[in-house]
Amino acid sequence: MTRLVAVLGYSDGRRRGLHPVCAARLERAHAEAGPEDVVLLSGWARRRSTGAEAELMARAWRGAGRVVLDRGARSTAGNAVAAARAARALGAGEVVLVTSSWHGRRAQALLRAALRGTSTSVRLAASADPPSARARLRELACWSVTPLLALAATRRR
Amino acid sequence: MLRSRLAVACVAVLALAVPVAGCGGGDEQSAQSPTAEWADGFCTAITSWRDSLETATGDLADASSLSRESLERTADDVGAATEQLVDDLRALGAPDTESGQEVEAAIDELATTLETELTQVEETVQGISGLTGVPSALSSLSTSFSAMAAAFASSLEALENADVQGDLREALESSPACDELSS
Repeated sequence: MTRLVAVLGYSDGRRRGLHPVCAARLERAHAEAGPEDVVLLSGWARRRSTGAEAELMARAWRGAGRVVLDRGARSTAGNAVAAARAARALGAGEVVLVTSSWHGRRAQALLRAALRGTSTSVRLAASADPPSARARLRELACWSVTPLLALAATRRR
Repeated sequence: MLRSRLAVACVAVLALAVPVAGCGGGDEQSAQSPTAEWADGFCTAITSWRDSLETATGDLADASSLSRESLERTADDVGAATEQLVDDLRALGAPDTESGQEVEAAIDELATTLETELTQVEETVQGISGLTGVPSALSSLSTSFSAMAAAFASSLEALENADVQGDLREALESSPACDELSS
């Protein structure tokens, strides 16, 4: 059965190249992906001039597997919906969710919600990049909207 | 400027707390200072709130579609978790630090904002009429929950700004309960 490795992008809109947080996630995904896997690189362009996170990751990809891009996801909820869509389309038995350890808990909750109704399992493969203080604060505050975003994801399948 | 303040506030509140050292056996009883107790209570309240919202998100697995009922349930779950958080935060009172009154005021302001938004959430859910009302209710709820998230960020910033001496920061960094927030 196909396995989907979903890599969640990250950018701060200030730099043109791959953000170190994103690079750490990609590095983790390199270690995770095998030749039979489908690798989803997901993330939008915070600014037109910087290029989509998905494209930046694709350029830096050195791992195995068949790479597909999602340039539309603007948030963790968007990443989760894109990964769930891809998993459904592939009939994937497992999604390996690659993101930062500080982001993994909420990302997993949203992905599981987006995968409701399927038997697809989710496994977190976390990169150990240290969070910026701002990212950590934002992460906590985001829990306020997480249940609602998970519910809203039902109409975006 | 704002970014750097947020960064400092985050470090203070969600501090990458070091594990408590000296966990070997022995008969010594460590009595917590009032400030340490306050820090524990603060982080425990926020951790419980986050865990409740995580559970609520997981429970949505039963919802097959976006409907009035599923919106009501989500609003109820978030509302119950947040009401508990407001109660827990208010019960903390002022920390025993030089900036205690300011910290209490910042937390009280957060609690008031959360209560206001929860009232709005309740009114929105009660006002949903049939399927056609669901999209506008979703938008309204999203506004309320986003306002709650913004209130969190600004109150944590105010809390840090008030803690000029860094007493609270020290207590938060040493609190095992605050470690939970790092996961």
